[in-house]
Amino acid sequence: METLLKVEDLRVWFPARVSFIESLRGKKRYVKAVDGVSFEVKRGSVVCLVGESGSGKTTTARAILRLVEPTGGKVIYEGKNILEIPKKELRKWRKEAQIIFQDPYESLDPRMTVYDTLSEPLRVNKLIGSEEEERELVSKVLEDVRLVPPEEFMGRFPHELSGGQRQRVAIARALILNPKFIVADEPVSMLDASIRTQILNLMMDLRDMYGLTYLYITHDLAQARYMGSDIVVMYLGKAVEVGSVEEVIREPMHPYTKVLISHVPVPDPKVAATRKKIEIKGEPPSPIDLPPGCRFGPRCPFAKEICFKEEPELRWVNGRMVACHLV
Amino acid sequence: MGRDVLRIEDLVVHYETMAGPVKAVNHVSFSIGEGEIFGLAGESGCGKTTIALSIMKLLPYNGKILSGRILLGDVDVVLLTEEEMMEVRWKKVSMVFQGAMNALNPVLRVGDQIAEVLVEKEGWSKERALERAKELFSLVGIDPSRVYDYPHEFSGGMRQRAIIAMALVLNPQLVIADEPVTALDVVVQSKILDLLKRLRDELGISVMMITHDLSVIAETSDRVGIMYAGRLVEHARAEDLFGEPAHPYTKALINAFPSIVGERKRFEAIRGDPPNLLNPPPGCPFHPRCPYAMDVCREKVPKLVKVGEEHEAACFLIGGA
Ligand SMILES: Nc1ncnc2c1ncn2[C@@H]1O[C@H](COP(=O)(O)OP(=O)(O)O)[C@@H](O)[C@H]1O
Ligand SMILES: Nc1ncnc2c1ncn2[C@@H]1O[C@H](COP(=O)(O)OP(=O)(O)O)[C@@H](O)[C@H]1O
Ligand SMILES: [Mg+2]
Ligand SMILES: [Mg+2]
Repeated sequence: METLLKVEDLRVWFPARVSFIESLRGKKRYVKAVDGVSFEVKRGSVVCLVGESGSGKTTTARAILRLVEPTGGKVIYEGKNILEIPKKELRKWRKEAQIIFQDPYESLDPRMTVYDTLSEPLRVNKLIGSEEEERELVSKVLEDVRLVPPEEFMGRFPHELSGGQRQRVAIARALILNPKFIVADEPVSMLDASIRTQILNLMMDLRDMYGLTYLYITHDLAQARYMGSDIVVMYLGKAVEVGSVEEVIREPMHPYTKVLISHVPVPDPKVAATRKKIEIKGEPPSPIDLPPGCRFGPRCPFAKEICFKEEPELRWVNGRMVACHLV
Repeated sequence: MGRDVLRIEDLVVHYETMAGPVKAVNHVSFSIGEGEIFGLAGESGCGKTTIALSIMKLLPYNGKILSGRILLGDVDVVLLTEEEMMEVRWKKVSMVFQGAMNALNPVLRVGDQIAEVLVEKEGWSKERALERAKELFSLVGIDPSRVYDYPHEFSGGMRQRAIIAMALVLNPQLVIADEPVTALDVVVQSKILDLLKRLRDELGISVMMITHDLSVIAETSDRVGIMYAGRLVEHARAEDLFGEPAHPYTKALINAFPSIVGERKRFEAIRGDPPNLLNPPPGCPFHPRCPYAMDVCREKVPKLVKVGEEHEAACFLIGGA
């Protein structure tokens, strides 16, 4: 498969608040929300970004879409660095790449009907000749997300929809501009289990129908396995392991991935009883004052001296990429 | 298992609203044994929290227990006055409320918030109460010296541990934990679940584990009750519920939880949305979404029938008309 998108050493640092005294000394500190993330997205694949909250998943996605300005790195899409393209091309990028947010309650304007929500992007981008054409497109996209019959949903406001229906509208809005690449940021984490499967299956069907490519963000490894072809495991702003979902989950190499996977709950009491958890201390620190060396070092059950001195680079090991001195 | 710590019989709870009664809990019965972790599972709005609040007698003003019994030992709490409930809450049963870890008072030291319960309810001296708080801290795995910290100095996992410590302050037999790990990260979540299991082992307490997440149930519970639209549709020992689910909803719900182990396959989703409890459908509440619905399912509500040892389900497909 051909590479559609390549993220290279992406960095997004936010200025952190410093005390008055520190500011007099001209001291600057940063929240290193994303601090060296690299991965590739093949056309038609689903790459899952996983990691605990605060690990930088959302910021990575926002930087790729240029909804936040990166501090450094490259985002190469079809051969062009998105971080350097002129304004005009940026507009094109924003049509081609769409995002679906976590909270369908917040992401839809409560004062807009479904019809207006879906036709707005068409109008803003001046893509429509006539009203009939517009109605036809809206109708079609509603059918695509299985809000049928479409006429029944066009006039509704968000509060007249269930959580699952709202997320379908959000997906329809992302689809209406015929994008190639869709970022979905925890799109089902606010939904109930039975509705969740509906939405996940819908997203997979749409991918097959339209040849879409997804960057799928989730904190849930089981969901990543359900959806993904590849996985990027993040810890404190850094990609620590990148590879095929099946392989990484079956045989994690990075100690953090090992720990994480060992703690994932399994919906089967027989299996749950036999799984061994890897002990680990504490919770992730803040990405402001990162320790020297490996940022997982202070919590790593396997850490050696070198881990506290040198930061490990992401490098190829047996068909995947791992950032650890020990592998 | 020993005797029952909690027995709920035919509980019916409604909320009065401008639009009419919300039928939150409909003829629910189950029991929890001594030292048992009982998982109460179901999607949001199916009545789990309402059952917990009924046990605690802390329903909001518009919530009414219309019928049924809630036996804690031999005492039916439905019949108790508010004054009598003061002797029950904390001492016989306590509750870890959903989101309580984010509701600690930010200007009070965590230890003082725990000690306060003992000072106010039991008339203990502040010193003695703080000693007890330290003891509880070490029990739940927090360094006792941190009783002097403020909530913002605690990580999320530590705050949840402190809330659990608080629930244990007067040695209850039963702790109700309402979504105790929802919104916590995987590793923290797993440690909190281990803590609850350890407390059960060490103290012999019973736990009612309320969650929408079946993998949390699978990791912790001895027995499970599955709720749908205010009704208990199936209950069984955990291995049996996951191994041989009988109710179509239970089967579908289990299939809504992908796993990191086992075969990787596409699940069939349940169509539609859960019903509104203001106007639940007639008959079996699951029939509008059930792929196997028959005529009788639209007319009558199925009763729980035995499908195995300690295993019952309410579905016409498996009998019980
Ligand atoms: N606009 C911002 N300003 C300052 N810090 C931010 C901003 N956005 C995110 N962060 C911080 O960056 C880190 C990563 O956040 P985020 O990308 O949202 O993580 P995730 O999506 O994995 O939970 C967090 O520590 C968060 O507090
Ligand atoms: N104070 C209230 N007034 C009216 N309806 C309520 C109230 N509290 C809860 N409900 C309704 O009762 C039903 C059961 O709610 P709840 O017990 O909170 O469910 P769960 O804990 O399973 O999510 C839901 O339909 C909910 O909307
Ligand atoms: Mg996020
Ligand atoms: Mg609840």
